[in-house]
Parts: sequence; structure tokens; C-alpha cells
Amino acid sequence: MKPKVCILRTDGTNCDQETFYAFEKVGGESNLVHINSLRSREEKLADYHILAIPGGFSYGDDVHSGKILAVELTSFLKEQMQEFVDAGKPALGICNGFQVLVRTGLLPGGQTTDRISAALIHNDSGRFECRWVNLLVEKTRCVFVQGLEGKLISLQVAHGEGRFYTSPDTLKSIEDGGHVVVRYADSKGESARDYPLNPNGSLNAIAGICDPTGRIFGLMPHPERFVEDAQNPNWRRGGQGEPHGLAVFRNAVRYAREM
Amino acid sequence: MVLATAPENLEEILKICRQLNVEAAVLGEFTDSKRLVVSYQEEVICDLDMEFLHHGLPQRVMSATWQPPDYKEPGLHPPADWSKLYCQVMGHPDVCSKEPIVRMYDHGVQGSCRLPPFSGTTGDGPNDAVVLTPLPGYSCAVVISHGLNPVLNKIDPYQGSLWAITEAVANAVAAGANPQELVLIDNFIWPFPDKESLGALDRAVDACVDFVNATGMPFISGKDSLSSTYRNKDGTMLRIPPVLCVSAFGRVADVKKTVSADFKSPGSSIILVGKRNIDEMGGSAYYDLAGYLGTNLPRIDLRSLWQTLSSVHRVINTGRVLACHDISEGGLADALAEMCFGGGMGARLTLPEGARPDYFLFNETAGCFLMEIAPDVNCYELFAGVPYLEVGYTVTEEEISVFQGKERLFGIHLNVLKEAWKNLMQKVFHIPDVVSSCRQ
Repeated sequence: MKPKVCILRTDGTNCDQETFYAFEKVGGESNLVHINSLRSREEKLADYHILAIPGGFSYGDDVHSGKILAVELTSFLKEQMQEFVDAGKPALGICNGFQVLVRTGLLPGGQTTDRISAALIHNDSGRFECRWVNLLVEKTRCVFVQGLEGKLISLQVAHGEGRFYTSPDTLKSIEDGGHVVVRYADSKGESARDYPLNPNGSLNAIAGICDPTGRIFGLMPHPERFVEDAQNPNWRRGGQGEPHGLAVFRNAVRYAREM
Repeated sequence: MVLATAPENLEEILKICRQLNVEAAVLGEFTDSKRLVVSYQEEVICDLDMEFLHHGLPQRVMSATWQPPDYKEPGLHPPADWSKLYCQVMGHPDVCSKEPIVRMYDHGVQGSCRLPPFSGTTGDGPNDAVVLTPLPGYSCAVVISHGLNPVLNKIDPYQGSLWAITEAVANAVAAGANPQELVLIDNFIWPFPDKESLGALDRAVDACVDFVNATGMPFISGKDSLSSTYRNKDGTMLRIPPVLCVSAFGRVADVKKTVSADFKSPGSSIILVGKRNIDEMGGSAYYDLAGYLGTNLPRIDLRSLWQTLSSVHRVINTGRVLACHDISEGGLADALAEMCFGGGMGARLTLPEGARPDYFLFNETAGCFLMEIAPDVNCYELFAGVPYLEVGYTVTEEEISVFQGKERLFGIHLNVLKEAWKNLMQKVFHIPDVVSSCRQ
């Protein structure tokens, strides 16, 4: 079976094609689905096995990055979203997609809510930042990173609003619950507090988190930009092994297939 | 945007627009009346003959003038303190790292980037061009590069524009593009065309024409911004320095045959390829630091350039080039330092006896290249027929040392150079302590 992947897009999405390609490469059946097709019921989320919200600037990042798409999802598609999640299907949010998941409440809590408990706010530097960063993959329940735990991987970030921020209580529950999946790190894997290793000033160097089930995963770095050798800036220098983002998509497809 | 469609496709197009939240309205239709008829609420507000509309405006005649400027050629002595001079050149605004600016733009979107603006061991070594693979899963690539030089234009808009075109082309070829397949785009950024500016523009256009005739590369598109003049509140005029920005585009069948600028291995030969008259120092950062523009600016020899470009491409295609970087602002010394930054290794240079070392290091003739080649390769065969010189080799130590004959002129640690090269933009962007953070 080829799991069907819903690559959700709307005005301003710009990482849909490479996310499409990443899932296809590992045996998924990718479909680009416009939010309007879901709102008009032309398409149903229930027909898909994996949901991916790609990067970009949905609705021009107006109000807050990810906010307007999140409102659409929680206002017009609330039941569909909750059904999808309750059915145990995996959902991935990359960059702007992570911002959307946080704005819906699906991260970190796993439920859509009007009262969000975390946010991705403006980078500490006050600037958009595009650079490759080291990430330490933590040991968690997250289904997307199985086999990567304890590894140091390299991915690109490209965002202006990526600073993970939350209250001390929520931070504690995320940390205690083991929901921090990837952290910005130095070359030895130690968590990075300072720019540029921590490119945005995220609390506890948090780059990506999952919900308590481990099936909803959001991260600021772009795994879909490193699924081929030559996507690494130093591929000509060699010695990087399997492209570091590939496992995220392969794990999702494998999980959906075994569901 | 405005688009035209056959009437039977109209509904489908409007439907697609609606699905994508794109506002679309039908403006009108083509008729065979040969007239432009515009109405507003049933009332005709415009009815013009198409012949008049397209050909009614008489050709405008403008006059131009060009007066060669009266700059002085300095008589400089080679410096007493080489390290200080090297750092000053690296820190010059036209030479220094622009990394913080580049990082404000998403250069990885669509996952198609195969040669980013910066790469290397610490991610801050600059490359000459960008290489993209637009079709996911395919290895065919497009090379995109640029060139411009407002400083040389002040001395002579003809030579400055020729330099700009050459720089764009050299950048693309350094990354692996085939010069026979390159196409160009011109963008003239000019003050409002008064007599003087128009004279300068005329000379810039001449440069384009001569370049095209010599190389066969076509200009396939372009843009003019001939109104970059501003009036201050007190009535004084502010004119942008006239500049031609040239973009080059090329195809590469296999992205594996492209190269980056970072040195790959200690012990490699460093080869200088291309024709330079090193006393043509006009408009260089080196002259500027001494307070001069000069008059004797680099003149591109188009015939030699074509041979050099063809040779560089042929050699890159053999797969024997480990790294390649073109020479531009800051000269050979800057190109070498940038290759060292990317590679995390140093270099030992030996300058030819009799050459003025300061000119040799800081001459800014475009269309010349530094290449890293494995030591066992026979360069005499590889570069037959073009000017080339083995100028040194890469070393493990992070130091650039420069000799002339047996005499050691100076040595400088890469971190000192890198700090000088990064410092200006660090300050502009309020970034703390750059070299120590990129060392990690």
C-alpha cells in the first residue's frame, strides 16, 4: 500500500513541491491539496493517511505567522482535523506548518484549542535567517525520528519567526514529558544557547516538538531540503552519509503503512 | 498581470483563479476594428485608432556628451606592513563579506540549490554563482550569476560595463557553466538621462555590443531604470552612480560537473588562469584605500577572455578541478583568502620575480581564475594556449604565506583576515564575535 499524503497548501505556501517530492521518494503517494478544496468538501482529510503542512508564508504571515491558516483549520475544519488526529494518523508541520500546528493548539497539546500554550515568535536577531544548523535528535515517542535518536543531524532553517517560546509551566511539561524532539546544537551535540548555532533564540534550544502521542510533529528546520546528497551545501566535500532529512519522511510512510 | 485566452477557456481559467483565491476580472476582448474602445458604465470614454496608439508618438531625439574624467594616477610604493594592507583590502566595503545580507533571503526554498551563496567547512566561504536543479530528481542544472562595478564606471563607463559583463560570465564559468551556452540579461541602473548620463549610457551600450560580437553570447532580456535621480528638499540633486548589472544564465547537463570555491585538500596546486596587466590598478580597492580612483583601469582583452573561458570550462569538465574562484574586487589576494576560508586550510604563494607584489596581489582584472588542481596533474597540457601560472599550493596550517623568489614577504593567519573581512557587516547587523562563533 502507498500511504496517501495530503500536502496542504494555500496562498503563500512555497515548500509544497519539495515536500511532495520527499514523500514520493520514500514510497508515499503525495497529493497537493488546497485548503479551499477541503473547505468546499471536494476533498476529505479522512481519505488521507498522512497530513503534511509545508513551509512558506501562508497569507503573507499577516497577523502572526501561521495564524490565519490555523484559524481556517480550527474554524471550518475542526471536526475533520480532530478525527484525523484521533484516528492515530501522523501529522507533520515544517517551518510555517509548525507555526500553524502551534497556533491550532495541536502542538504541544494534541487537541485543537482557542487558547494556545506556546508560540514561535520573532527571531531574537530581529531578522529572517537562512542557514544550516546542527540538531540533536532526542529520545522521544515521536514516530517521525525513529532510528535517529541520539544522532547529530544537519538541516537548513529559513525563517523570521522561529523562536520557540512558552510559559515556565508548559516548558516544564514539554521537557518532563519528553516532547522535545530536536534541539539546536553545537558540533559536539551540546544544546546551543547562542546565535548563530541557535539561530532564533529558542528557549532550551528547542527546534521541534511532538504531541504526547508522538504522532504530531512540528519543527522549524526543513528536512525536505535534505533528502538528496547534493542538497547539502558541502556535498562536494563528501562524507555525510544518508541525507539527514530522509528518515523523517520514511518513518512517516512506514508508520502509516503499518497502521 | 494581464493574460489573454480563447473564449472557450474563460470559465475554466476563472474557476482555477477562484480556487486559488486569485481575483480575476474580464477586462475586454480583441476585435477586428483596429481601434481601442474603452467604456465605463455604457459610456465610451476612449476611442483611439491603433495606428495612432502604437506609432503616433514621434521618435524623440536626445543629445549626449562624454567628457573623460580628470582623475590622477597615483605613484604608490609597496606597503611596509603587508598584513595591515591585506586586512584593509579584505575589510573594504566592496570586498568584505556580505553574508548577513544573503542570509536574510531564503536561498534554499524548493530544495533545488546545489551550490549555495556560502559553503565550506564553517559555512562562510563564498561561491561565485548559484547552481539550481529546478526539476526534483533530475541532475540537469541551471547556473545563475551576476556582475556590476559602479567604481570603474566613474573612470570609464565602457570599460566598467565590459568588466561587469565579464564578471557575470566568469562567475558562471567558475561554477561549471559552458560559456558557449550562456545567455545574458542587462539591467541599466542610471540617473535621469541628462546629456552627461546619456553619454555614459551610450558607452555602456557599446560595451554590450562589443562583448556580444566577440563572444556570440546573446542578451535575451533586460531592463532600464533610467530615472534614479532624486531631488533633496533643498533642491540639490542626488544621482545614482551609473551602473550596468549583468546576469548570466547557463545550463549544465550534470550537476556533478559543477565546482565550489572552497579548497578541498592540502598539497594541491593553485593555478592562476587568464590574462592580466597587473599595473592596471585603476578603480581597485587598493587605490581607494590610498585615496585614489586612478585612470589606468583593467581593460578586458575579449579575444584572450574567450580562450580563457573555454579552457577553464574544458578543464572543469575533465573533473580535475577541486575548487575554482574568479578574481574580482580585492584581486587575487581576496579570491585566495576566500578559498582558504571555505576550505579551512591555508596556502603558500610564490609571486613571479620582477612583478610588483602589491599589484600582483590586488589587481582586479575580471575574467581571471584561481583553480585548485591535484599536484600530479600536468598543467602544461591542461592549459595549453591560454595564460596560466602555478602560483602556489594549499597547506594544512591556517595561514597564507607569500614569497617572491626566496624572500618571504609576509604570512598571516586566516582568522585575522577573516575577522577583517567580516567585521564591517558584523557591526552593521550587530552580530557579536563572529570568528570565534564560526570556529565551533
